[in-house]
Amino acid sequence: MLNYLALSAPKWLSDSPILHNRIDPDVLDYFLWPLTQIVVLLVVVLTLVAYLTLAERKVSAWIQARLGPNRVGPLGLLQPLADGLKLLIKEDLIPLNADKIVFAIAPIISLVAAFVALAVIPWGAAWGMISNIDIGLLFIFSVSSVGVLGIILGGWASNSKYSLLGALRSSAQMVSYEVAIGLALIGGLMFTKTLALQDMVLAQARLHIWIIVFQPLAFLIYLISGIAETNRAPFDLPEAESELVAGFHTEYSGFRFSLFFIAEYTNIVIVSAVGVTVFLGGWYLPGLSYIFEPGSALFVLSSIAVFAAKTLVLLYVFFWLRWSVPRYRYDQLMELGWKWLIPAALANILLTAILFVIAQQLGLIVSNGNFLEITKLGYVFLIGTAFIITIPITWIMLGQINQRSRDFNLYEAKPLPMNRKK
Amino acid sequence: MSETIDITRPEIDANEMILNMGPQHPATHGVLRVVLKLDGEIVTDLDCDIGYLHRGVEKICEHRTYPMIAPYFDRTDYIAAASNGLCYVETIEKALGLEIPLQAQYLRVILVELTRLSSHLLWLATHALDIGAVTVFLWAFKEREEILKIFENFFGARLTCHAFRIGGMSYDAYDGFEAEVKTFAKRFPSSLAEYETMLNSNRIWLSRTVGVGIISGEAAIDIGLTGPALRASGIEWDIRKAHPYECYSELDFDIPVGENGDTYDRYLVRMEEMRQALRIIVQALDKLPGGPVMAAKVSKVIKVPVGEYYHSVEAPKGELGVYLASDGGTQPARLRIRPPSLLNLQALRQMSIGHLYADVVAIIGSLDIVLGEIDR
Amino acid sequence: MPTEDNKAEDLTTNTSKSPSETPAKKLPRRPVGSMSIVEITSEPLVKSLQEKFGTAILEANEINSQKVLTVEKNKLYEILSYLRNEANPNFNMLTDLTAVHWPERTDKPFEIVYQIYALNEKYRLRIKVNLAEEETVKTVTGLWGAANWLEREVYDLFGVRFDEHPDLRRILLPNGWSGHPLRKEYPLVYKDNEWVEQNLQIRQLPLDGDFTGKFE
Repeated sequence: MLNYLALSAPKWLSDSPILHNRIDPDVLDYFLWPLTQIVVLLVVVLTLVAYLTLAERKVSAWIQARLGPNRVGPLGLLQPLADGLKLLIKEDLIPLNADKIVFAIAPIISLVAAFVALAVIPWGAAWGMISNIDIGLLFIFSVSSVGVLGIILGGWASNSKYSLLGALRSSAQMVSYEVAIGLALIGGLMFTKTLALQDMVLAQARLHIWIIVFQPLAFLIYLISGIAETNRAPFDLPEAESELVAGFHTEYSGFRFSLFFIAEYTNIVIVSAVGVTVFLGGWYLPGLSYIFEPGSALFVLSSIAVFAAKTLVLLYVFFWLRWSVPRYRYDQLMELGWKWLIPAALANILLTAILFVIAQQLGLIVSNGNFLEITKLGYVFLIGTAFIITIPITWIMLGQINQRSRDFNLYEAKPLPMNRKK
Repeated sequence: MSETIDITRPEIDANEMILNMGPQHPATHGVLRVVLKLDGEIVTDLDCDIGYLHRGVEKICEHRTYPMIAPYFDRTDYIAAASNGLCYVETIEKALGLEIPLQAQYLRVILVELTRLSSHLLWLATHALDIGAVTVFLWAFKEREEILKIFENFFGARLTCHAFRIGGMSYDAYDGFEAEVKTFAKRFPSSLAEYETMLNSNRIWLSRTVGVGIISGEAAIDIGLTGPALRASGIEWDIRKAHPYECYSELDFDIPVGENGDTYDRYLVRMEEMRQALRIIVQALDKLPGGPVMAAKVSKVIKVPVGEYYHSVEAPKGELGVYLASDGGTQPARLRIRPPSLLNLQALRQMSIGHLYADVVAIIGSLDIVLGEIDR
Repeated sequence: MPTEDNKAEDLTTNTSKSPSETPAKKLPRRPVGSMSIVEITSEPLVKSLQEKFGTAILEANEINSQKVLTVEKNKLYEILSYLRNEANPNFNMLTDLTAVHWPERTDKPFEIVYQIYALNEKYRLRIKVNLAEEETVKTVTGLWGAANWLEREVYDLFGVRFDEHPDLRRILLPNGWSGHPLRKEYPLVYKDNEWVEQNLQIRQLPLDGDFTGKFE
């Protein structure tokens, strides 16, 4: 088990004839190997982001009964290349009275904040992640808050009423939903007893279960808040075409726009990846350790593949949702965040904690140092109460809070009174 | 500061902002400019600046002979071109006292109801697009393609299809017409059911449209609102039932009437109207009598006797009227088009004050305006 | 299904011979009649109006089975107000408000036409009033809100002003435009070049010649 935590260069690499005794092991472990990992990760993520744009266009096309890009290359696979090239060769426009330095820096801040968070995500077992710091989850959220700064600066520096409105709306939305995300994740933390992301996956591996089964409500809150956090539909009012043209990035074109774009898609990848890590078991798949020898290179590669597959499923949900539902109005969006999701997350934490303590008293859960041990009855108890107690009580509580809200009492379509006059 | 928002209105407060939804904007359907006074995001005043598409159609028509005027009507409400053509030729026919053969009447009804379907589909597409449901936009356009193909086969043009002539129609239905329309009629209800599945019970759609842009029945009549928007406010009035023209009195159909006069009711009324239009088409197809399509006694040179006449039809947007004042010549002395969208747009101001900026977009969409008709 | 009857009058000219071969035929001038005009002084509505307003109702006809009343200008507002508020078919809807310019009537060339409609009784009525060149009428925006933009359009295209209108300014044409296009003396192919030049910066280009290098 402890092998999984090793972040030094893998043995088969450091013992190989090329490198053995030629390089100082410390330099290998602390410099060259992480450098390779970082380079590979950046290349992979940038390509992934580029192809995510194509995937989004294809998925949206299939939902809308059309084909999507299929001219550039077979099945349109060279489309991202064409798009990237187009953005690179565009004229670099800066609005007349814009603040030039801030205008230039804003997309860079967004991008850097998005990329830094990639470092602590457990893409795979053992050497499948770059660094496993103890406060992994907190790190990710503090860094993505810096991304909000990029948006505000971008809107401000554009010297345009529309951009400013869009930036302010966007930042208020992101900040509100970060609270909801954080609270939703706490429910999962009670079972993993750690903030380090790799350890969370290990905890789920040890329990042989994915935490979504214990915390369905928390996963739902996390997913919705994640969509709102990254300004995706149905929460994309700040960039809604029919109202603000393009929100905070109205005045950006060419390469600067592509930086914002990459930052947005990287944020989506991060939100999906964190969701997979905390709720969907990360790279853990129940039968994986029987197929491959734990610790071997194949095991790690297959774990990376499992993680990628799960992340792609969540990404597909993001795309699917964008084209299926209309857009929320701004005040409804804020109301959803503050009056529905945050109380629900708080209720979830409270109820989970109570049930956890009850289970501990009953002896169904035993805390053994850093790990939990749950009896079979304990599993049944936790899963059952999640569905039978937590969700209904939360639902009733939300109803009470929002009773006088206009949107709570919406009616559905009734048959219209027809007139059959002659 | 725009000069069009201040003649008699008070000066703006320090808290208010004037925002211009300019003529080029993705959500104003055509070249419409709306100047809004916003307090934060709440609309406190609104003024519409129209006239960007003014082409002087009424003036031109005073210098054209009666048959030459008909194509100009297609270009006013370019989305529902056949309805406009129908209103015009009916006015001339009634002024002349002509009897239209039954086959022409039934064909006219079928084509006008197909036009109503096409216009409502475009309304659904753009309204849903403005509110964010992009998929419905593409699906509705897919259905509309079928209707436009039928028009192309019949008239040779998809959109501005100079459909009717004074005295009837210029040619009878083509050979595959009934079959094509029947195929379309068989497929359409399931598409309509798909749109309703996407939108009717969708919480987000309900949040965006219920209670937005309410106008009461009396206020609607007073401001001159007609068409589906009036019916959504609870007033049962449809020219096809109140003053039947063509052969509508022989066809059996219902008129949907709403209750609350908000955007959601206008949406429901139009969806139901699409169903009823399909019902009319299917009935009329079965009742096609055959026979001539042109009245017997239409002279080569059409001169309307001295006098005046006003005739209106139920266009998809509302009551489309034509007022003709004639001095006995081959060209009219005054041809006035009463555009439904102009009077519908006038109601925008009282519907939007007090709502948020995002709602204005939804309300404009639900009024279903077309600038070609407003500006002429 | 095309039958013989379908080949009705061909509304285009007969092109079997070239125009130069056949001399232009002079068609006999058929006298063009007028639509049927019937006086309707016996209708209950017209009777009650005549009782109340007497000679202000100049004519009450049914032209081609549509009811038309021509009234005097100074009682127009009272008549319309009576029809809106107290008359028996209650005319709650103003369908249309427009004007016609008859330049041959030299004393009162403008005719304002009000199409009003009683929704519940389905009764259409047309009220007309004749105005001289600079005469104005009182606005009916207080009676029907629909009149607001309709009167603005009449002002814009004809130049007839309405008293006490809340917001009388041009609606279809731009604000600085001079001239009222729907008057018969306004030429068909004409635009206010001064306005266009000032606001759109479009100069009148010369009609002949070569434009290379002349566009700045």
